[in-house]
Order: sequence, then C-alpha cells, then structure tokens
Amino acid sequence: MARQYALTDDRAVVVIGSGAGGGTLSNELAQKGIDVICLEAGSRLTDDDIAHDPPLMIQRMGGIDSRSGPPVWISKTVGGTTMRWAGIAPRFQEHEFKPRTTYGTLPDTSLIDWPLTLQELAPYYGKAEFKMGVTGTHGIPPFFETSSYKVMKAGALKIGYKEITATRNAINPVARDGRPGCAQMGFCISGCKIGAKWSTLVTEIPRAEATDHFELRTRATALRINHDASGRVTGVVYADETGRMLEQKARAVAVAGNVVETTRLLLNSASNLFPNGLGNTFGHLGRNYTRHVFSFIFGVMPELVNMHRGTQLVGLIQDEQYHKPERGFAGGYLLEAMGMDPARAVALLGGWGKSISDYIEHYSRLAVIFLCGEDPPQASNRIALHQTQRDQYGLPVSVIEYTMHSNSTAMQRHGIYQVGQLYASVGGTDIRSTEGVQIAAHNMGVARMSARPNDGVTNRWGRVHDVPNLFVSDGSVFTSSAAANPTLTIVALAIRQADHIAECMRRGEL
Amino acid sequence: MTSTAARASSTRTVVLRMVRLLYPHDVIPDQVYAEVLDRVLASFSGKPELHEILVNTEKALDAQQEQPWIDLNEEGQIIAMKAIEHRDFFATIRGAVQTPLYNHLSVWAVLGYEGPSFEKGGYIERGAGVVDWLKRVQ
Repeated sequence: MARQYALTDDRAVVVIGSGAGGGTLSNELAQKGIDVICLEAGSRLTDDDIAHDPPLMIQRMGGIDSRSGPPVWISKTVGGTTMRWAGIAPRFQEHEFKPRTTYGTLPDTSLIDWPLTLQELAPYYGKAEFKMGVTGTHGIPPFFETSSYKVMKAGALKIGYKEITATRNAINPVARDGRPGCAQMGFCISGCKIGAKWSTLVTEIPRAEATDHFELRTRATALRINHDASGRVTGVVYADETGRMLEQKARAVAVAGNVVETTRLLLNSASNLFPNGLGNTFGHLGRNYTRHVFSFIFGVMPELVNMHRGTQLVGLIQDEQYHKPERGFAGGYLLEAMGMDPARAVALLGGWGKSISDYIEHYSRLAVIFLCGEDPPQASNRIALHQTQRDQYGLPVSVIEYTMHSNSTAMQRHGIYQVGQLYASVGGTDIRSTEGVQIAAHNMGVARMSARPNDGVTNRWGRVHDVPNLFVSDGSVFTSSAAANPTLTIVALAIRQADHIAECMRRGEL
Repeated sequence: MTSTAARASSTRTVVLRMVRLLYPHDVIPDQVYAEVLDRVLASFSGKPELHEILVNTEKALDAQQEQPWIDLNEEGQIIAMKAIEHRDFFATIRGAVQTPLYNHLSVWAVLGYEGPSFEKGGYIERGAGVVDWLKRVQ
C-alpha cells in the first residue's frame, strides 16, 4: 500500500496531473526521497479496461469535457496523454531553441528564444530516452518496419530524402525494462493493452508508489491553488470523486494539466494579490498557445498496404525539419508514417457522399503520412475563461482561440505537395489531405519559459516568475513548439525540473 | 397506424435514405444502414433534441422542392441534401452516423479492415509490414 498523507500535511509537493509531465516529475521526486501527492482528475485503468475500441476508449480516458473553440484531444486518466500518444519521440534541433535568433522577426508572431539550449537539455534528453526506451538510443534496436513506414521510406528515397529512420519510437521493439515487445496490434492511441508503449501508467506511477514517498489520488479534480499573504502557494483545493471539496496543503505545487486545464486552473486561482490569475502578472498566461502544424495526407497505393496491421506511428523523415527559408516559410516539419482504422480516416477526411465513400472503399490500399511542423507563437492565440459557461463545480470552462499563422499555412501546403510527390513516385494516386486547423493532440506554450519575467510566465526551470514555489510541468512551458512531437521534451524537462526542485530544497529555498 | 405513428415511420424512412446517401456503398445492404440508424437513435435515447433533429431534417429536405424529398430521384435527393448541409441538424446526423457505420462488421468486411487484434496476438505474425509490391516500383 502506497503512502497516505493527511490533508494538513504541508511537507509534500502537490503535482496536478499524472501524464508525461506530472507522472514523470512525481516519480523523479519520489525517487529522491521527496514526498509527492499527485492529484489526477481521471481514474486508473487496468489492462483489462483497455479495449481495441477507439470510441469506447475516448469515453474511458475522459476526453469529453466541455469547452469552446477548435477541438483538443486530451485525456483525464492516470497516465494522461501518455495513454493516448502514438509513441514517437524525436528531439528538438539546436536552432529550434533559438527561433527568434534563427527566424528573425516573423510578422504577427511573439517569437522569443528559449532560456535554455540543446546542449543544456541534451543530458536530460538522454535520461528521458533511457527511461522511455526510445529505439535507436542506448543500444535499443530500430523499430519494426510497418507497411506504412515501408511505403513512406520507398517514396522518400525516390524523391531524394536522405534522413529516414525507424528509430525514435518509445515502444519496445523487444522486451525491456519490465515491458514486453510490441505485438503489432495497432490501436496504440487507444491505450496499449500490453504496455509495450511507454506511459506513465505502466512505469512512473507504480515506481513512484514503490518508494513510500508518493500518494496518487485519482478522480481528484484540482479547482484552485491557494497562497499566503507573501505570495507563496500553500495548498490545492480539489473535488474528490464524491464532489466533496478538500484542501491539500503543499510545500510546493506543480501543474501539469495538458495546457488547456493548466491555464484554466491558474486563471481560476485569481486572488486579491494576483487579480488576473496565478502567473499572469505580465499578461502572458494562456497566450502564445501553439498546437503544431498538422496534416494527415492520404494516398491510394497500387496494391495492398493494410495500414491497420501494426503500430500506428512508425518512423520519421527528418529532411524537412531544418530551417530552410528558401521554401517560403520559417522552421520545419517532420513526416511520420501512420496507420488508422476506417472510421478515423473518414472522420479526418470529412465530407459526405460518393466522394468519400468511394475513397474509403480503397481502404486496404491507403497509406497515410502525418505532418507535424513548427507553429510560431502568436499572442492572440490563447486559452481564456468563458464569460458565462460553467462546469459542474461552478467554475468557468475554457475558451480556445486559435488561428493559423500564414507561415503555418505555407508550411502545410509545402508538406502536402512533398508527400504528393512521394506517393506518386511509388505509384500512389488520388492524394487527399486535411488542411487548415486540425484537432490538436499537441498543446503547448501558454505559460512559456522566458529569460526576462515580462516576456513569459515561467523561468528556465518552469517555475512561475513571481511565485517562488509554483511550477508548471507540462507542454505549457514550451517557449516555441519546434517541429518534434512534444512528449520526449516534456519528459526531459520534467526530469530536469525534479533535479532543480531537489536542489532548491537542499538550499532551503522550498 | 395512428397518424403520429405514420409520421414517425415516414420520418424514419426519410432519415434512413439520407443515411445511405451520406455514405453510399452499393454493396452494403439497407439492413446495415438501418442497424446503424438504430444505434444512433439509441445513443440519443432520453434526449428530447433527437425528435426535433429528425423532424427538422425531414422538413428541411421537403422544403427544397415541391414534391416530398423521398419521391425524388437520387440526383434530386443529393441536391436537396447539399442545400441543407450547413445546418446544425444535418451535421449532427452525419457526425453521429459516421463512427457506427465505419465500425460495423459488414462494412469492415467490405473495406478489408480486420479490426481488433489482441485476441489473435496482434498482427506481428499476420501480415504486418508485408508490402512486397514495393520492390517492383522501387
């Protein structure tokens, strides 16, 4: 039985959220002997709860909160979005930590450089890759080559791409670290039933529980963070599964609610001392919200692909990740080979009538490539509180305001053209893609790290600039989105933040 | 049949026809579309807006021309559907139909989608990564 802390006990760090950021931070702190209470709004699924049934799993993983604006794809469950991520774990490139310096003044953006460098994060990337078992690192072999990957690779080579790899998957190709090798089941984004895919549910949470310095409270929804007259946070008010409001006292608080809920919690914690919300002294909280440039690009191949047979996202083309302004846009993008079921394909392609039904009749010959690219921050892209709509606790729900920057539109168009060439080179026809704003699986940037307090919300450790014991531990702290899928960077930053919190405690600052 | 029951039956006929025209697959029998519609109706059970959505849909389709929509030929029916595709109730029905239709086993069989794999040990020994034709185009 894991440790249990009294509500009045103020010696523990309270971590809100148990996903990539919160789950990792919790375990890293607990391993150092630091007491942690993790509040998770969702419930804890077992292997038996995980079914090869995507609509059912969306219900079970709790992605159905009400909010307004373009859709986001987030979870309320132990493990957070690590239950639902596809397992691709690329690093940022050096220039992506310096977007302002590299890209110059991009009109209508609020670009700044990160207050840290690749060199500084590299050791933590290494630790994150070891923890997650990323293929192609630490002697872990490359991943199984799925049919989608083979199609992508063949076409990529034909059109002259050089950097194509089946590494950078945080899914075990063979058994490792107590987790089995992947059985090529598919359904990765509905939760991995055997735990071959890394998630905090299968690694970080049980390991934290084994330390005797950790308590996980499930179905515990954080509603407000309290502070004292000096501006230090003192506790978290949350609703338990019966709807009872409780306050857990805290030594420090770390928020990791996948950006949207992180923003809402900090804004809903407004007080006389912080009238615009915690962390909003300089007006940046909720702003500079980025969600990556996305497109799903489909092509009908000459013969069978059966993209559903196996892991849903395998392998990368990295040739377009670089900053090459001659393409007509700043920053770069990754191309990743994807598999999906017919229902998702129809939902993504949209439309109705013979056009879509004839197309999906080619299902077994379809290939899909996922484009994921850098989306520059804009102050006007933001998450705020709804004027009138309230949740079951009487708190304002969130409103997401997001429009694509012209740089992102140009990048999306470029990627769609390139993938069209790639498919055509192996005999693919009838290429279709999703354009414009897509459902966001990658949320970033609302509490960005900045060197100067008045440029952002958090410092280089993810600590809120003017609240000495309040941390943000999810993708909210990203100064910019870069092209890479965000989970690896969230995990690396959480490991680094745990070291910093431990150091602050040693120095008597926390 | 009472007149209410007759109206309900006519509404169902209209909506069922519309569901087929939303995602028309010649090889899929009407029975499958009917099962999908039943599943959609069941998912709305207890929600008063359902009745309104169905009736609004029928009214809007019928309002596009002089004769009842159901009596039009296929081309005419599609033109009327296009005229109301921006309406909320149209989007609601389309959205609700899409997932159960493309998760129906008969549709999977037609599309060549093999579905859940856990019980069968995944696809690792069942054709994952097999794209031999690529060698011929490389």
